[in-house]
Amino acid sequence: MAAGGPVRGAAGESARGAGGELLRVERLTRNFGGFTAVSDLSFHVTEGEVLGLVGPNGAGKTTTFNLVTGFLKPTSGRVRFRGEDVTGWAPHRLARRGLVRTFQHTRVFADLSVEQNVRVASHMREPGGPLRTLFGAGRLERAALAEHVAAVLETVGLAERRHDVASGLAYGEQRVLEIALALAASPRLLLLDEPFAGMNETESSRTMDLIHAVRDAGATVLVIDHHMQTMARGCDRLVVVDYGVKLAEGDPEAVTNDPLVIEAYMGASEELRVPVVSPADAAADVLVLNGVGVSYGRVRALGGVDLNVREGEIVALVGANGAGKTTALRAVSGLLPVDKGDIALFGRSVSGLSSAARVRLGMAHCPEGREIFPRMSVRENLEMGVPDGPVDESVLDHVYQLFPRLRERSGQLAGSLSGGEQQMLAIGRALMSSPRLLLLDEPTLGLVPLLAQEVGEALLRLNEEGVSVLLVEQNAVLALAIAHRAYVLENGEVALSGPAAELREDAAVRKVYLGA
Amino acid sequence: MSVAGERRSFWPLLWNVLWIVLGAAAAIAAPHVFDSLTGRHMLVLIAINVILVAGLDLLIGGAGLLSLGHSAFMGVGAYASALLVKAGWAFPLGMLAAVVAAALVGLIVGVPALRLKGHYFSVVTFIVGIIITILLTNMVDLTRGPMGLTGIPFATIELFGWQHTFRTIIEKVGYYYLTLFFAALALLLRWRLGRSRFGRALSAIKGDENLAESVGIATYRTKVAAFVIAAGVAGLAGSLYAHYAVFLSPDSFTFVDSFDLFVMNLLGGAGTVLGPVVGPTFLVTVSSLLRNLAPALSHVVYGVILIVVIVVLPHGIVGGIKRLGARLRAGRGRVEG
Repeated sequence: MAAGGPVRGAAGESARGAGGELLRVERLTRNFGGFTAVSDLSFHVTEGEVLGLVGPNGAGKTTTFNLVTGFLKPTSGRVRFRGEDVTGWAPHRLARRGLVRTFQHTRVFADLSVEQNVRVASHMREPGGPLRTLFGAGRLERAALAEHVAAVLETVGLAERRHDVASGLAYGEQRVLEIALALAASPRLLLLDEPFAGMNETESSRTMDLIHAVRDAGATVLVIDHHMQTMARGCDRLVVVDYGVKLAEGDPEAVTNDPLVIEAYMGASEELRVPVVSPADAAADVLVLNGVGVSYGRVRALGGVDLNVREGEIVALVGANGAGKTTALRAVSGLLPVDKGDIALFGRSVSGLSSAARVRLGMAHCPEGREIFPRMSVRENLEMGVPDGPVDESVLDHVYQLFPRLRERSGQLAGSLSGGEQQMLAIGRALMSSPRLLLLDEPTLGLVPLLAQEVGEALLRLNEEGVSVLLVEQNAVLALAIAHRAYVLENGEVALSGPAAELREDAAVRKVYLGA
Repeated sequence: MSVAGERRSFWPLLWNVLWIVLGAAAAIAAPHVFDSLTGRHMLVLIAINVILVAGLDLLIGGAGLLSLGHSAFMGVGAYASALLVKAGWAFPLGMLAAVVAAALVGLIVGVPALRLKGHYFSVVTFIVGIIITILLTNMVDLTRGPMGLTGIPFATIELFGWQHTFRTIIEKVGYYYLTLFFAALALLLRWRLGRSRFGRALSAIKGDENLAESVGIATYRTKVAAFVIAAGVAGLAGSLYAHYAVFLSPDSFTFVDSFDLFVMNLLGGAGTVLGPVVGPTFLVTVSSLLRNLAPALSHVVYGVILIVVIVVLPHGIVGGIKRLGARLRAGRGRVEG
């Protein structure tokens, strides 16, 4: 066994352009009931390349991944890996042949330290057997394993955090650890499922560098993501899918100029309208935060934030991951206790009021992550938004007007909606209590530009009807396009604030937010 | 926990040796401190339960598999050993047969049950436990059913010409040391398994089964192996129990007993080395005190203890103490640093 690099690619030879075909997917099809998630999809991965599988949400990318890695069985079609038909193999068997994946939603062993995580994932490197189980492995074997673990941690740059518990890592680090786990399994072909999800530009490009480092060490990489720009920048070749069908294949330059791709991806690229009705300066405050501080145990998440939302205003709260945006929203809706300062809703202090009481005052909170009830119909989900008393048909009708797609699908199970529709449903449910103030947490997270724009437009229509909005957004461009005013949070404090139009041009904002 | 490549430092090692020596001394001295028949009876029961919980902890603490029918495997081992020794087998062979029989039943149950995940698996083990009790009750020709199996021989051990029969009705100390020996062995096995590649595979399964599978761990086979080992260990405990009580009835291996084992495991601290000692010691003591004070209440109190454990001590007594210690150390480190 060659101790040393974590990757077991063709050692010595220049991996790039080695040219052998590593993976071939032939006419892969998968039906779920009457719905075809992947249809007659064929592509191949060449040894030594970084291949990107791109497509909008719901295009069938993750299904394809699950089919290739053995987590799902195809309805028809074949998967060949290293010249062998591996269709229907169990995931661990594929992993032993060198085909290793990561998952879309971060999966690490949360209770173990970083080093223990990698050690567990090095299972295949570790000799077993009853004698070793009872009496321990030999000194040399232990040393070889330790060397392997150290090499993996060095490659991904987590060596200094090796004693930290995985659940205590920052989000970006957890995603890196996830890649480390896959590397520990010594992949020939590494499949990464949405490694850039929830990352800002800096983090994305750092991850892309890591992917290139892995490739240069001899592994071949297949990445899926919906983020076209990042993928076009970092992949050697792209395969674009939509509705489970291959739209285009080739080098990034050609693919991004393909009219079919542009249409599927960008939609008719219309600029968002900037809000026209600006509330008067004299408009009453619907929400005031006065020096609000929140702590998680010993960690101060929010340290004295001053903020206000006036009637009829859209206010954006932007900032990098971990800046305290979600914490601020949760403090306003009463889901987190405030240990400093005061929050006033509609002119009255709400300290000591429960979440439910605050909702009754006219506030609604739409949390991150599209929390819907997947086994209920769209209509039933909306009805859940009325805490007590009967459902007012006119309110329901109003929500349907705002989101016509929901009316079309009112009888459908919410779990079968696409990501964008689920987001609309989550907002719609928040609106069922006829709020005067809507708190929105990351409503466009994970949505392609076309759908994000649709959500943005619905917010503008809502605002024209007089609903005030406090919007937390990762997508700063969109948030600053539709907001009247914005606050930039940094490490739990307001770093900047002002009219959104000004902040949009502000270089400092770009730096805080985009890292550019 | 020491991880690959880490130098094992001297003080924790000394600390562990000290604990083991103290614990062993206490366990050896115990029957002479609690020298009544009742006291010694309880000590034997504790030792047998330590064996059971050490095995069960491989599932619950090791792999996160909440098995709720564990006492049924003890029952299989108990009857197998009792019947074979009654038929003339030597006690050590009967004990071996108990382990094999229980492991075999564990395999038959585990192969289909472990295809299921989470609550479904727990429900199946619960029902299988009940079914095994029903079988023990109804196979009257073999087990004498509800009348109970009497006339089970005392355990006899022959070593290099030296022979001893453990007449447990009046003389309990010797048999206590015998069970203590196997309890120590079971704890050692649990500890070794926890630190092996197999144990790490189990903890990966506990953490995230899909992720474990994706890094090449054969999750299903690993879980079946753990289930079979745990069942075999329960069979061993069953054999020790059979030749201690020299009377068996299906009533001793019901789902209530499985539930007690589950509570002992959680109370002591699932996944900790000393948990399987602390849980049974605590619960056997409490329940025997209760049986004298208010017999009807004992299982109510078990229920209350379980609720308290879940709310106040989610990591059990040992887990809670470890966490407290870690917090104190961290606090001290901060002051000094």
